[in-house]
Amino acid sequence: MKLACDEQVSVPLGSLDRLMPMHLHLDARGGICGAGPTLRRILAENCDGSGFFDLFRVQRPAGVGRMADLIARPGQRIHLALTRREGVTLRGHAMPDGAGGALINLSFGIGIVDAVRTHALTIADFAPTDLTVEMLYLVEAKNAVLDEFRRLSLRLEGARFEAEEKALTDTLTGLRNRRALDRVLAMACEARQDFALMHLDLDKFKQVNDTRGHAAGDHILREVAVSLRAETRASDTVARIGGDEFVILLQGMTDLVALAALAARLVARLSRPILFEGEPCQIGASIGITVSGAYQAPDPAVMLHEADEALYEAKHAGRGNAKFAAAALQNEG
Amino acid sequence: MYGLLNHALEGFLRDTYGVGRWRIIAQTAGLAFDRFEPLLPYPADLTDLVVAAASERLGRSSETLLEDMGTWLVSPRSDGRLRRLLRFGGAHFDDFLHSLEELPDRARLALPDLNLPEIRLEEQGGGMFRLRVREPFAGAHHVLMGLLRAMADDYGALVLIEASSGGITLQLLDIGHAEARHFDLSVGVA
Repeated sequence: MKLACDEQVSVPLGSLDRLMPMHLHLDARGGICGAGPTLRRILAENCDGSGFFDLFRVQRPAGVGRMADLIARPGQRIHLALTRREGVTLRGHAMPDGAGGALINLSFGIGIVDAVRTHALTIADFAPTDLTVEMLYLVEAKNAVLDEFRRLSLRLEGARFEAEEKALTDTLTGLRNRRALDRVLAMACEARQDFALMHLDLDKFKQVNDTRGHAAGDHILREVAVSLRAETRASDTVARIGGDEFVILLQGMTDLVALAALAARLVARLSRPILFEGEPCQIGASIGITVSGAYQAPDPAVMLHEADEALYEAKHAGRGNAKFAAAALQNEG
Repeated sequence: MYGLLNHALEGFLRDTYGVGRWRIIAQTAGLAFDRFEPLLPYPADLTDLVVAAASERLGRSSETLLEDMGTWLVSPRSDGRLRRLLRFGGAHFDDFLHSLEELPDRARLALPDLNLPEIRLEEQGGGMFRLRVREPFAGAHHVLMGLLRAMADDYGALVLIEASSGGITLQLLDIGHAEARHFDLSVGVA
């Protein structure tokens, strides 16, 4: 015996609504004679009796404008847009209903997030076989994870920045340290920037340190740091590279007259007595200067060495002096 | 194990008992830090240490603390994200209960190496359910109990929840006891 449901299935409308809440039933002339409850919510109007092609535009495949075109493409993927509402796209396929009409099953496709928001759809609007709700869950879970990763990166970036700052800072004075200077100097040489290098050494510092103690010495170094920062710009690099040795890298400054004036200002400022516990400490400073323009290919080691030699010369010429490296003066002609 | 769970525990303790007491708990637990990163891995035994330290410092049993944490996790006091993700489990509380078995798979969809404990649900008829959890740390099922209580409220269901040997017994008395809190499918995807 052959079972009746082998050829044709007849289901109550209520079952069809639950099984395919986004279906459309068209009669042979393309009139809508049935629609699932979720699709009705989206259409937001009574669609019974309306023409399918009045309410929907077939975007894909092209050339489907009549019922015959639809019937001729059973099972083919179709993309629909609403004619009376912007932004709603649906996809699905149409199959013959066995009575000359067609049954179309639809879903939202990739535009689901917007569609759910626009139409305030709930879990109950989707069939259990439809993974739409899972897709929304996934989008939300993914966003949560991404947000968490974003926050983590920010915190790590902050910690990295802090660690790097610490690694490049002289803890006693808060100035840059030798490592920081090496980095900035290498970059400035590499990029062929115009800059000047000042090597500054305190006079009589050892004396103060020996007679007044380390606390006095530390105090003086911190005060010197304040002075050096006050006399330079934020774009300059001021580093303490040894006990009482400082190097200043002055960006874009190659004018010897201006440099001599700055050096003189520094020497004058640092020869003013610094008070420690109410008692003045007398120090001074000597400076050696060179400029990047004096070299065919500026090299950090060479420039530091020549600034150091100029400093040695300055000290020799009597303390509280500033001298230019020979190369810097030659170039000036 | 991700710090997710420890981070949640920290959030609950900070929010409920204040930053000061959280720091003391962290210290008591021997942590060298006072902040868990949810997406970085931590040794598995840290959770036990923090729970024990909290219990000692706050003078409350770890069972009570863990259950309160479960409630807090889905309450409006936390960021509400977990509550939303759980509500995707179903339109009604019984659907939600059944979705708990899928929880580890759902979690893996979002974070492939996140291993949530397996939960088995036995429906015993007459609205009675038994849940078995493979505990990732001692007392984990108390977190689940608190969470289930809060989710039942969220769904507007009336339930009785009790700890039983090796799991949780749950009696669903009225699925539509009160109005469910509103759940908008698309709010969290902006």
